[in-house]
Order: sequence, then C-alpha cells, then structure tokens
Amino acid sequence: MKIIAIAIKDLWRAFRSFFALAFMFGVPILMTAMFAFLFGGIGGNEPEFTIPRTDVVIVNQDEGSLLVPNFEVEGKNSFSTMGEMLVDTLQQETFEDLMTLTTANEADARLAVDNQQAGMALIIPAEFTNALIGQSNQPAEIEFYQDPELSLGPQIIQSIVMSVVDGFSSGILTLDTVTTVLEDQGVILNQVENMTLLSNLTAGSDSQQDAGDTNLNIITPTINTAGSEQANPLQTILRSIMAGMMIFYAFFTGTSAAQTILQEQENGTLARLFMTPTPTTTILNGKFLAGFLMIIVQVIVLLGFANLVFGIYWGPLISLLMASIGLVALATSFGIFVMSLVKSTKQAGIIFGAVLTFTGMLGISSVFVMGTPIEKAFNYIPLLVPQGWAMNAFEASWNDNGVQTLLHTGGMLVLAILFFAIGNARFKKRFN
Amino acid sequence: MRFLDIAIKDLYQIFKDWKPAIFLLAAPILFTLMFGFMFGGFSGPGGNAADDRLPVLIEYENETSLTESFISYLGTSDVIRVEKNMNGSNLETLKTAVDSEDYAAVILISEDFSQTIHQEGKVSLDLILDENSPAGITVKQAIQTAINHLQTAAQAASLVVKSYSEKVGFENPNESETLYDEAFNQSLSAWHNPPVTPLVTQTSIEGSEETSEENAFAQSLPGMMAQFAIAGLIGAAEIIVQERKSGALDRLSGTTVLPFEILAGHWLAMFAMIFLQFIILISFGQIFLRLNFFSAPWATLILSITSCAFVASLGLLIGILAKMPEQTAIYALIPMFVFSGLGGAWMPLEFVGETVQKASRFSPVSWIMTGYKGILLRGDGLQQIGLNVLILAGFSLLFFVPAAVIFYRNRT
Repeated sequence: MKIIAIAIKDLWRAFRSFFALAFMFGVPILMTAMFAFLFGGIGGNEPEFTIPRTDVVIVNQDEGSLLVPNFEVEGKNSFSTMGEMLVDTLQQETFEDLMTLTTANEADARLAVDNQQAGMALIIPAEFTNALIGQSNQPAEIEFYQDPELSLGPQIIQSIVMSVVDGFSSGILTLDTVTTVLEDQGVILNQVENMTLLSNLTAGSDSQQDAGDTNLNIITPTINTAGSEQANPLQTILRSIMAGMMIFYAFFTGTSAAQTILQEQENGTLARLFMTPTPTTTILNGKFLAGFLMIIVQVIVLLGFANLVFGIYWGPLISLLMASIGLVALATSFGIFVMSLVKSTKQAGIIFGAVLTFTGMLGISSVFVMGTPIEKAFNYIPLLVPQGWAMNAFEASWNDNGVQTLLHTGGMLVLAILFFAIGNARFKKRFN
Repeated sequence: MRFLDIAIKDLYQIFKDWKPAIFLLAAPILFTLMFGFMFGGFSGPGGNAADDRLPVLIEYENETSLTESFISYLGTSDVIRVEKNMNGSNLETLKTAVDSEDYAAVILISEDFSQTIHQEGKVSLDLILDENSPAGITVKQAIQTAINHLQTAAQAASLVVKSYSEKVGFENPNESETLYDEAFNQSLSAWHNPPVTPLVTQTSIEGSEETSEENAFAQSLPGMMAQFAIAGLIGAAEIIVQERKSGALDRLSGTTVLPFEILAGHWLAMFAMIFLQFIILISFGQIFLRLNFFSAPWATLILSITSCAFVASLGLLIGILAKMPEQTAIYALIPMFVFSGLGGAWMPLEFVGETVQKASRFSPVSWIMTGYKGILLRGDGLQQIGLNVLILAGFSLLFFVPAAVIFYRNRT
C-alpha cells in the first residue's frame, strides 16, 4: 500500500497547485475555446472554411470589331464588344459572393493589386472580340494580374472567367470544326449557310452554358454513421482542437509528473525516502502511478467537459475507452522515459521546450491543416511521434472506425511498454 | 556596458548545451519543409515537376468511343489526374473513397451516357465530391468546363452529320456514326487551342511583371521562424527564473549594477539568440529554398530586428512573470499557439473567415508574416513594410514596458 500512499501524496501536491491545474485543464480548455471562436466562427455564423471573396478590378481594353458592331443577348441587352458582354456576365448576382467588381484603367488596376487594395486585375485585351469571332490569327490573352499572397480566391475567379469565355469561344470553335470536317468530306458551305450555322451555334451554346450546371448531379461523400454531431462543421473543428490540446498537454503532465523524481532528488527528500524501509522500486512505482492517475483525471475531465459544454461526440464508448487508455499509458511512460534521460531539473527545461513542443506540434499537426488542401498528407506524418498515434486513435474513435482505433491503441501500448521499460530500467539503475 | 556582460553570460548558459540550439534550428527547418512541400513546394521555382494534380476516379459502365474521348480529354487537364475503373465499386465504397480523401471526386458515367450525348447533345453526370472543400470546388469547376466542351463537341458533330446528310446523304448508319465520331473528336481537341487563353501574372521581385511562379516556402518559412522563435523562449526565459530562484539576482542587485542594466542584458541575450536563429533560417531560405530575402536586404534586416525585438520583449515578460522554471513553458506555449494560429503561420489566412482575418491584426505574427511575404512575393522594400516595422516595434514596447514595471516593483 506504500505505492498508493506515495501516489496520493504526489496527487495531493499536484492538485493543490494552481499552476498544475491551469496546465492540465485550464490551458487546453482555454485554447480550444479560443480556436473554436477563431476558426469555428462562434458568434460570427461563419463556417470553418469560407470561399474567399476577391476584389477584382476589370480593365476592358476590347476594341471590338468593325465586322460585328453589335452583340445582342436574348434580344434584350446589346453590347458593342464581347468584352462588355463578359463584364456584364460577371456582374450578375450569381457571382456576388465570390467577387466584388470595379473598373479602372490598366495602370490604376495594377497599382491597386500592387497595393493590396484589390486581389486581382482582370485585363481584357484589345483583340478579345476579334479573336472570338475568328478575325485574329493569334489567340488573345486575357490577363489575370493577381496578388501573389492569394491563391484560392484568384484561382476561383480565373476558373469562372475562363468558363464564361469558353462559352463565348464555343461558337467559333464549333464553326471551324464543322467547316473543316465538311471540307475534308468535300462539302463546302456558302456564306449564307455559314451565317445560319453561326447563329444556330450561338443560341445553342447559350442554352448549353445554362444547362451545364444542372447536368451535374452532386452527391455528397459524407458517410454519416455517428449521429448528427458529425455533420456539424463546428463540432468537427472543436473536437479536433480539443483532442489535439488534450494530447499535447497530457504529455506535458506525464513529463511534469516524472520530473518530480528529479525535484525530490535535488531537494534531498528522495534520499530521505530511500533511507526508510521502503524499497526503491516501491517509491519509484508510486511516483509512476501518480503520473498515471493524474493523466487519467486530466483525460476524463477534458473528455467529459468537451462533451457536456461543447457537445462533442467522441465516438462509441469502447473505442473512446481504448484510445483513452492508450493515451494515458503512452503519456505516462513517455514522461518517465524522457525524464530518465536527463540529470537535473535544469536539463528538464530543455525537454519541455524542445522535445515536448516539437513532438507535440508534429503529433497534432493534422489539427493545424484541417480543411486545407494538404490535410490528407497529415494522416501519416504525425505517426513519427507518440502524440501522432494518440491523435489518430481518437480520430478513428470519433469516425466509428473500430479497427483503426484498435490498431492505433495497440501501437500506443507497444510504444508505452517500450518507453516504460527503458525509463523504469534507467531510473532503477540510477537509484539502486 | 555591464548589460553586455549579463547578455554574454545568458548566451553562454543558453548555448553551452548544444541540444536547444539544434531545436531552435532543426524544428523550424523541418516544419518549414513539411508545410512547404505539402502546400506545393515541390513545384515551386527550381522544384521538380511532380504530378500534384487532384486525383479523380472515373467509374463507367460501358466503353464507347465517346466515353474514351471524354476520359482522355479529362486526362489532359492541368487540374485533375484521372484514374478509371469499369464496373468496380458500389456507391457507398466510392463515397467512402472521397470521404477519406483517397480521391478529390468520383465521376460516375452512366450506361446511357453516350446515347444521351448522341441523341440529345447533352451530358449528364453524377459527381461525388465535397462542394465545401477547396479541392471539391476546384474539381467541380474543371469538370464543369470539360462538360461544356463536351457538349460543344456534341453540337458540332450533330451539325456536321446534319449538314452532310442534307447535302450528300449517308449510304448506311455506320458512315454517319464514323463522321459523328470524327467531328466530335476534332471539336474536342480544338479546345486545346482556344481563341482566348489565360495569362496569369503578378508583380515580381524586380518590379517587372512576369508569369506567376508560386513558392510555398514563402508562406511556411516566415511562419515557422516566428513560431519557433517564441517556442525558443522557454529555455531563454527560464534563465531569468533560475537566476531569481538561485538568489543570483539578489546578489546582483546588491552590486552597483542598475536594474535597467539587468533587464537590458537579459533582453539583449534573448534578442541575440533569436536574431541568430533568424539569420541562419533566412540564409537557409535564400540558399536552399530560393526565397529571395536579399532582394530587399535593408527591409529584411529591419523587419528581422523588429520581429526579434518583439519576441525578446515577450520572453522578458515571460521570464519575469514565471515563478517556477516549468512555468516558462506554459507562458511561452500559450502565446505561441495564439499568435501563430491567429497570425497565419500554419496556413494562409485567406482560408479562414473574415472575422479571423480581422482578428489576425492583433497578432504580431501576422505582421511578421505579411512583412516577409511582401518582401518575398512582391519585392516590397522598406517603404512598403514600414507599417509592419512600426507595429512590431509597438508590440515590443507593449511587452517590454509591463516587464520593466513588474521587475522594478519586485525589486523595490
């Protein structure tokens, strides 16, 4: 029972310390709440990922064509150039959420982008109309002059603009194809037939552009097997951040708990303990047990708090239990392992600063790239460090993936045994 | 000049053990490379041209000349990389493949795909993708464009068949189909040489405009420099705590050394440590990552000095506030997470909402990031980064003044 007495003493000391409590519970909760506010948009009704709206300055240099002085769309709007038609199309309500349009001359537009007052300048060339009606030998280049700091917004704008321009281009491209193929077959169309063909094509391409989107039936990929909580983006982001912070600080707690061995050694209290009839193994095991229990309390409180306050769904109880046991065992043994490598509390500062921050950051790095194009790459990189195994186990748990949870928990337990065996052996060798 | 002696003593304490030094350099380099490569660093200037197109699976039920044409046309896309599979999987499996991000999207080509195009000139597709993800948005746009091209090709082919039928006439249905396919393929391949092409430009470092080249490390290196400069304070700030705990500070106060000299000495040591870290990382970026910091050497220098001054002031405050050595870790990690996350060190702020973008102005890391990105991507000089420098100097004062006040109050 001496093991328990020693463990209780350490626990009593830890839970009386405001600093320890803040470290174990306050900081992870505070950080989660803050990141949830920032990235989850609490209070702002913003989803975790928003398609950015780009400020676009349009420079219409299109000089039109003498051959076609007027372009009519659906018999209502009339434009003297295709450039004007493009500007009018982009000003439709459909694109309101994606871009804010203004017009300017070329120099001012470029200056606005250079000064970051606009995200992009769209420069329609002088030969735009001529190229689209087949009166230019060279393709016209529509220029997207963009702020190099932006990527997604300008990419979307470019895609939209080129999609509209494609609609304009389809008439001349089709006409060219039709006449070329027919000529190859020995059929030559006269001018009247050509004009009729072009007129049919323009009408046809308009209706095709309109119909294009409706011909795509989008199926959402989410396999929702874990209740309605999974579909809520805010819950998703909160859960990842909370899990990341819990794991990050659980490893700090494990290391901090093991550090008490060094502190007691430096204070001389450990030497006094060794002079009592209590075996060294019992004393050390008592201290290890304290760390183990501290992390159990930390994990239970954080998981429970997240569930009650933020409504976070952690997955089936059995999976959650497996992941939690793995985390507690791994964080405790990792702390024992790293502290067995250092000689004094001064050196322990390096462990906190360097080893735990580095491995912790790497292990929970999937949280930082959540919702970005590189998210998938972070499925495996974190497995280089113990925290990554814990993160993956919890992710598997809330995704209801029992096999993956078991696999990662198994990995954690293997690592935990390894770390504990080395750490335990080193400590016992040092004090025996 | 006694503050110099204190600074040298601190630096000796910091660097007498090589392990923290390794951390101060290895960690930001590793994370820079990791985030940079993930954000497309391989295809940056000088990088090799790895195929980083988004993977899209095409699931189709029967093979016709039209499906083949469509698939091979999609295969030429700059945006998506096509993999095809015939009658291989059920819908749930395919949804799982997209959900688990094995594919950015799955295109389902139905059995009557070719027939519908042929008879009605329309393309109808089922598409499994996440419309709210950047990959999903990009893929949808690419497929939408391809569909428009496909419908145009179908229209051209129909017109060719119709015109030929009216003028010459077909001897048998096979002749009509052959002509349709020929016109369809020719029309589809005509889209490779459209009458209007896009030209993407941006302001280059020299101030001239040239074709855009992205360098993902311009985002990741400044971010990791700032983040790990703050993380590096854990060890440096601990020296101040140890000095106080061991009684060395009391002994020092008993000498003729002024309190301000003690403060300045500690601040200078932290500044020197971080500045050295910045110099090495900037040189690493310049030499190995082709980030042109030296295009604006004075701007880079002044921005680095003010950035390091802010971090050193933060470190001083942490060292003075922390009562126990291990407290320095918590006091350094909180601002590290908050300032880095809010400041866009992990991912570009354009990916987050407007609220966060506005809030990021309160993070000094955001000003470090925009300053360096301005130098690297737009060729900004001293004039353009002036505001960043002033604000970072302001943050330095914001942390230094309370540190000094608390220090003086504790000493008296």
